[in-house]
Amino acid sequence: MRKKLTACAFALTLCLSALIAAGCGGDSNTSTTGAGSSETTAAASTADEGFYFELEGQKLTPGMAQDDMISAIGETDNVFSAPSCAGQGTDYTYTYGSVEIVTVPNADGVNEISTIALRDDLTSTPEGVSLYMTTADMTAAYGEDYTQSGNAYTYVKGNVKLSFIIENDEITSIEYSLATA
Amino acid sequence: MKAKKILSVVVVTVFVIGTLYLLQRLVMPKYMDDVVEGNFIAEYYNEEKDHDVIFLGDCEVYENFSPLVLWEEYGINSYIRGSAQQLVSQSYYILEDTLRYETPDVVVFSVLAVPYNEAPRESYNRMTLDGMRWSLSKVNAIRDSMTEEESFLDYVFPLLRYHSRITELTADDFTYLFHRDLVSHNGYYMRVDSLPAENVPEGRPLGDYTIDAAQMEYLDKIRTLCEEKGIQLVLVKAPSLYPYWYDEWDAQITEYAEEHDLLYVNLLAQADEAGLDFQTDTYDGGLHLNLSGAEKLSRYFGAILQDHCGLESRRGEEALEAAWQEKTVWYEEDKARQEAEIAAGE
Repeated sequence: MRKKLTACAFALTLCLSALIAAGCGGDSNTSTTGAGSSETTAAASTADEGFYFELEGQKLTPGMAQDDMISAIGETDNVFSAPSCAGQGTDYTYTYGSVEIVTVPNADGVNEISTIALRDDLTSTPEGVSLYMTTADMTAAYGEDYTQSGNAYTYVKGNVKLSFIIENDEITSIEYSLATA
Repeated sequence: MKAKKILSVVVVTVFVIGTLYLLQRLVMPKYMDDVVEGNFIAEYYNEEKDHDVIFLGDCEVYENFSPLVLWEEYGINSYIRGSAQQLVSQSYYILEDTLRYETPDVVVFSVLAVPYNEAPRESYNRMTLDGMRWSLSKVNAIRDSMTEEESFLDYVFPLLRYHSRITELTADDFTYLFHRDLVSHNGYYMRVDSLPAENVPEGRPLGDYTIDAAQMEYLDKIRTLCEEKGIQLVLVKAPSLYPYWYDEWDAQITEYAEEHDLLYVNLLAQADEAGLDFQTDTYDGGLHLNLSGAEKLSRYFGAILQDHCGLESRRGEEALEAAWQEKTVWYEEDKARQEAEIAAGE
């Protein structure tokens, strides 16, 4: 009887341990700090699906891998790195003349473009809108299908958001980001 | 015969539960190797709880203030209950949790998280919540900050969450199965290396600078709880150059502080007065201070605390002197170890 119970205990423990260790439904996230499960975006395809920004003749879009971005437009000396607290990756801010590009780590720890922002009116969107233009210029280029929150006017195309901030009828910010963010 | 059967069943049950418990301890992250921040919240419970000042908040508290300096210079006995990306709601529940053990004279709350309103992330949640002892405060903290993908049961039985680590165990998982080494200095995360601040981006314009009402509600809960317990609440903005701190946010925090007669100290605006030099006093380009910066800031802020909060020096109290003497040894050892590592790498 005792032998049976002991065998039963071992078998039960092994079964439970194996079940738990095997995954209880296949959770494959094994990060010791739990990386979360935010959506990973395919980079290359988004340029064709949503808004994109053009720099050095190359299409850039949120979700594009940082390495692909650098391959396309080259390095810059103006880089600011911001390590996340407690080793959860590093955000980078790359400044290419009039354009500021921020990359952040995705769920797999690979940095990809989070935002593309225009810093001055020396550059414009592919549709011809730049900083300090007016609301009318914006709607002439992108139409009326925007959502407004405070001073921010946001258009969505594909998985990319294009946001304008307008103060006193003057565009003070133009920024591309992921619509899923 | 029947008694034997019952005994056997009990033995088997204890064996199974014991095995699962050990397995759970084994697979839970130990945070001893590199991400030591995951141990900060739990370390507090090993402390003698008789603090004059408790700091609450994210990295802006645990990387910028040195309790040892506050003790040495002002006789202030303080502890930092900070954790990585601590949400405002979590700060509130950690305050509740702290008050189960002690009632400090002053609570210093870092306000960065109030307007930033970062989305909760599981990795950060775990670092903050797993370290808390079980209480209603912990239950509510989990409920309020869980992401959609997380489940409450995973916090009750972390084995359910971390089982897949079984294939990636390291020596640390066995070494620290039942204990952890001390990793902080009363909650302070010491870094002696240096990286000058360069190319720090300016803040980009926002469509709306209004601080989220739910965030302000938690700030108000912190204030109310402090008021109920007769604790002076001090709001502080650490002198970090990034993430960007907007004037519009500062104005709202200032207005809130004035409305409730709270002391609000924007140390970012007072960085020069504190003697901070972002070429030498930061280890990551302006996000956090290194030891040199944290010590300068603590000297500056300690004077403010003493002047405005009427904290009297406790130097000379025998038990405290003895405790801090021990802490000083560990502080100097940690500093020397890091300096030696840097020297070896040069």
